[in-house]
Amino acid sequence: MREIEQSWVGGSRPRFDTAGRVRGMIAHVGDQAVGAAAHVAVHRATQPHARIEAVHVDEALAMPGVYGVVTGADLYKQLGDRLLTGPAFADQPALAHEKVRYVGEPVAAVLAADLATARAATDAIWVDYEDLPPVYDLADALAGTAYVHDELRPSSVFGDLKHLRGVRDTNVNYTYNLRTGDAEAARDAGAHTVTGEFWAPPTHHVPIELPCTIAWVDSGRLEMLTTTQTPSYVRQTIADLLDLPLSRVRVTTRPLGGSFGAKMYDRLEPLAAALAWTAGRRVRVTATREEAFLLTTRHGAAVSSSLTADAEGNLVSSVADVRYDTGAYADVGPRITAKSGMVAPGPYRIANARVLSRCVYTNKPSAGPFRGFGVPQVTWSHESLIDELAHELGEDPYAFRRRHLLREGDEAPMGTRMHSADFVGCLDAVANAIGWFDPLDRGTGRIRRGRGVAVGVKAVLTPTIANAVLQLNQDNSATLLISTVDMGQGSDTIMAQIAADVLRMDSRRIHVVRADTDATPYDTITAGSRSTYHTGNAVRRVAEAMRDKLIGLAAERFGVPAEEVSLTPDGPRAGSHEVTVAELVHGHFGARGATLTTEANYTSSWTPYDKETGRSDKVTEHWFAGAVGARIAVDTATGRVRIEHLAVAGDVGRAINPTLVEQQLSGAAIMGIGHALFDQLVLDQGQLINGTLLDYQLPSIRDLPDQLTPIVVESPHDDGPFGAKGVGETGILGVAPAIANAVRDAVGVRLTRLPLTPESITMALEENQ
Amino acid sequence: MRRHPPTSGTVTSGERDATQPQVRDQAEPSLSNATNRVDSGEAGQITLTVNGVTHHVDVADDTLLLDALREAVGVTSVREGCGVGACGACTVLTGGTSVSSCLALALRYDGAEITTAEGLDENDDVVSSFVECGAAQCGYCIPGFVLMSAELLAENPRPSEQDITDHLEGNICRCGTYPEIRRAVAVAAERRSPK
Amino acid sequence: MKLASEFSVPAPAEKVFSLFFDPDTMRGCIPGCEELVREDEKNYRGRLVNEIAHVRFSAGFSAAIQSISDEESGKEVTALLKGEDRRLGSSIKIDARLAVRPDADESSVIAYEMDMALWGKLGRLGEPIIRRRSREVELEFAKSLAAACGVPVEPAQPARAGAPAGPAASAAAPAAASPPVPKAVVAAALVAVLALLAAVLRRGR
Ligand code: FES
Ligand code: FES
Repeated sequence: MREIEQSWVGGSRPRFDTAGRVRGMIAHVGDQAVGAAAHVAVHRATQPHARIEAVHVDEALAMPGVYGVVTGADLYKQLGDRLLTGPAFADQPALAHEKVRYVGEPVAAVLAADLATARAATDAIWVDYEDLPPVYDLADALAGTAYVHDELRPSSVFGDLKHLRGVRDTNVNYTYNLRTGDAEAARDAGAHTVTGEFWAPPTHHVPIELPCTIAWVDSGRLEMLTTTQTPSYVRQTIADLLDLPLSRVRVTTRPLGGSFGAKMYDRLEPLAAALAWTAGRRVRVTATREEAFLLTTRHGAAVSSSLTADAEGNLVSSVADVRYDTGAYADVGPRITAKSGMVAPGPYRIANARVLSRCVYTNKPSAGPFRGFGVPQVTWSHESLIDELAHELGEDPYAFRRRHLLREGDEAPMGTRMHSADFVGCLDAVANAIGWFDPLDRGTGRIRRGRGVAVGVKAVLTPTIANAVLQLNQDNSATLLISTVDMGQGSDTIMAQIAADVLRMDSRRIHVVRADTDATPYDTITAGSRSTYHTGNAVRRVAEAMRDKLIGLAAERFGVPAEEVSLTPDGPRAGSHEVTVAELVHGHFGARGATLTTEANYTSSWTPYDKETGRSDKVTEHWFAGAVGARIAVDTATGRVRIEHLAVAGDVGRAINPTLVEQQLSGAAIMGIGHALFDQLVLDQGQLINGTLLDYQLPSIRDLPDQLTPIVVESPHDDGPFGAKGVGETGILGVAPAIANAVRDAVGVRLTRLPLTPESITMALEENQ
Repeated sequence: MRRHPPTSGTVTSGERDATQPQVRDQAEPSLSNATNRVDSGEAGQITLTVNGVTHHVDVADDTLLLDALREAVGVTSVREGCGVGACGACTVLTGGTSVSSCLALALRYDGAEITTAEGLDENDDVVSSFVECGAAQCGYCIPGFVLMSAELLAENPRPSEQDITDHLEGNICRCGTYPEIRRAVAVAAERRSPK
Repeated sequence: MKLASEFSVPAPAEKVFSLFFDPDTMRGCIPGCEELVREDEKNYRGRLVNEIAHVRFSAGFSAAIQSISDEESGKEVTALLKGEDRRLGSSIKIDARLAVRPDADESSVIAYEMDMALWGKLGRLGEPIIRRRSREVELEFAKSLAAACGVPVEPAQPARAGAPAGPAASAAAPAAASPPVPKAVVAAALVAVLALLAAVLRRGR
């Protein structure tokens, strides 16, 4: 392959600015000099659920270096109900107003000359509360004796939530129902049923970069620089909050130091904007690691489920009751509840399926999007059930799954057909990789070995919108304007590869502009594994438009019809005519440094699911298919699990950059190992008690499996850019159940609660005796 | 492997600072807000030689080395990830020894020679092998890994895989770049002292 | 978090109970208790002040009696306690049950169970620290009580960790000569939980 081709689609060119990353020369938001600014710290609630009677700020105000103290009531006075924001429900105030709903909720903000002064001043604020009955967990919430919110407040973003406005006396803010056939009857009539009560605890994303927002007012406009995956969303939110036209709000970003769903929607931005706007000065809002733990979490989820086979071993019924604990604020929980609830039966051919999926308020820190968008929690259920059913039927868990997996063209239980979702290919790949078909040394004495597999399915976020603007510079370099945020997944690299492939140029000559809503066009969000497909398609189109433009100019110059001109790495060609791009553009404008501009859009569509049945013939633009295989050794004396081999496969349609795809798969798998074995937020009566990195365990290099094999499966998508789809979440879906299934295989115990701690394993072994 | 404060030379001896974070019920970083405070006692000026350039920096007695480096010296590769010595994003080398700058009081480093990742040459064995092995995703944690790796190879030019794991286990990469990092350290070792 | 334990005091239940009548003794047993006021039949309020490592803290608390049972074999009270330390940005809520029963050899057993919610900065200290500290406090308290009873300062038995208060060991002991009034029992309950509260607050600094 020529070097230039290595920089196109399918080439593993190095990530943009690897050298800068290695030496720490990439400037993140927190590295930007802010000049004279008010540094902000917040005073936090010490009650899980209480009415605010008074906030005492005088002592704080009197401290030297303190510029001001702002409470929720102060903001409410200026902004009214606009203070309440959120992607699905407008329920979250930047500072608590009237009520606090979780321990650690921001109640008042101090603006001061420096951060230490601001933080010290927050300790001088106190609040008089009147206790309200707390809702600590799902059981409390569903008991229906106390309510986190007096009434539901769907936001204007999603029209289909309108019917929920004003609903009172409930903690369930959204319910999704899937009804295909008659699952209960089929279960009762079936020959073999397995059931389980599954629990996946809340966890945290812990991107190593801490969140930071700097906001200021310039010429009557609110401008900000912030750590966000969703600049277009934030711009709209701030415009709504401050009642400004979009043109008077500017949201800019820098590359993120990881995010995984933590830095999206409403985090520090509404507070920073409200403070900058009302105080009329530049503010810098950061979060310590402890505070970052409170900004958003992954939903803890309980799933009560069953899977039934008939006498011949065909799957006939899947039933699941899914409860997502969304904490004090809905965030995007209602979306997760539907999009992930609908795949609770798993990627299998099942004639009858019933899912009740609910999003539930509790007095805890809010839960929002996290790599996998709620799907790992239901995958935990369906991949444990099908494994157990295979055991019950005396079948091989791999072969049993394979027999029932959805194939190309098959309709999933929620009514949408499968295309470019090679579950079988993924499952086969991981089974082969971990030696499923070879004899296994099962070990003797304390150490026992086992193998497990799991399959996952997830829908891409749909419908979404992507736009791209391309400027081709006269010297045959280019500037690509998109609002996709690079947070380590490598979008700045692969988007350049897509454009360069179309334009036959070196992708390293294409600069991808960091999202800046003053310059880069609207893009729904960088999340849900949607960017490669959606923004990638917009980029492909914008490059094609540029190619057509160049060919048109060349045809004019050569005096030949456009059809006869082709674009090569050396420039346009037509028979004996040749010209370089630089000459062509120079000739066109008569100027050095001139630019040609094109723009393009890509929008996906869906058919909203039926309210009653939850079914849709196109609930998503496409599917992600993934599989994980694990070979493990359990020390039966200590309960410790050692992962000898973990293989993770994902169908990515077509890998734009195979190396980056492999890193996404293995990175997700490593995160998944944490979720499987130790990662969890521990709350005690609403108080987070392990919210520091001394207490919250994350996978380290020591937790690497002895062997980790990422496997790229390519089943091209008809409409993907060069057949490609995203991959950010595929790798994480099946990790926990694959490991738990391997534990089942090794020592015969079925664990239904994550994480699989050594204590839980030894306890289960004792009970099993 | 934990990052330590240097034991001699650059550090004036005295009481412990907050450098024993692993003892959970002893250090209480969560309850203190020690950063550069306007009204705290003036401790005066210290001299830090960072990547060969000498800086005179005004610090208070509770200023952290992390903040002195970022705010006064303008170094950006030294980053806060946890503030409690548990992630390694804030690692620097002083006199070749790794230190968690989020736990180190700047005052105690008066006169110290400090190396940060941007101070390493592009052609440095560790830097170039990290680049070649693609050992960076978002890259936020990577400077810390680079410095820990440099320290390891200085002490142990032919580390085993286990040695690498032991030395890097106190650093967290949330993107999960561990396989590439491990490979990069092995490549750097090979490059530095071929068999 | 749930804490439960019991400890032995080398004095007859009768004597222990009588000490509970004496507010000065009780105040002395609660580290840093500066104020203990009975507001009405069921409600108490007080203040804990202490100075640890040059940091002065002051936590107001309230206690509301939920139930009292006065059986022959022992006395039991349940109370809801709430405290707040503004400087530490912390609050505490305790559902407590405290029982005193006669034991063999002229001694008595004080047993407590509490469901404690700690919110704010103190809450983040984590359970192991609080459990360990509660054990230390228990010993301390047993010691002061023993001293107040006029017996040697070594307490008879250390805490039996985690053991919930079982049914009274013996029903044989006759009822105390002068049946303790509810107030005394309340004081006992307060001693245990407030000692713990104080300990936790002190630890927080
Ligand atoms: S910030 Fe210093 S070790 Fe994490
Ligand atoms: S590369 Fe992102 S945290 Fe390590």
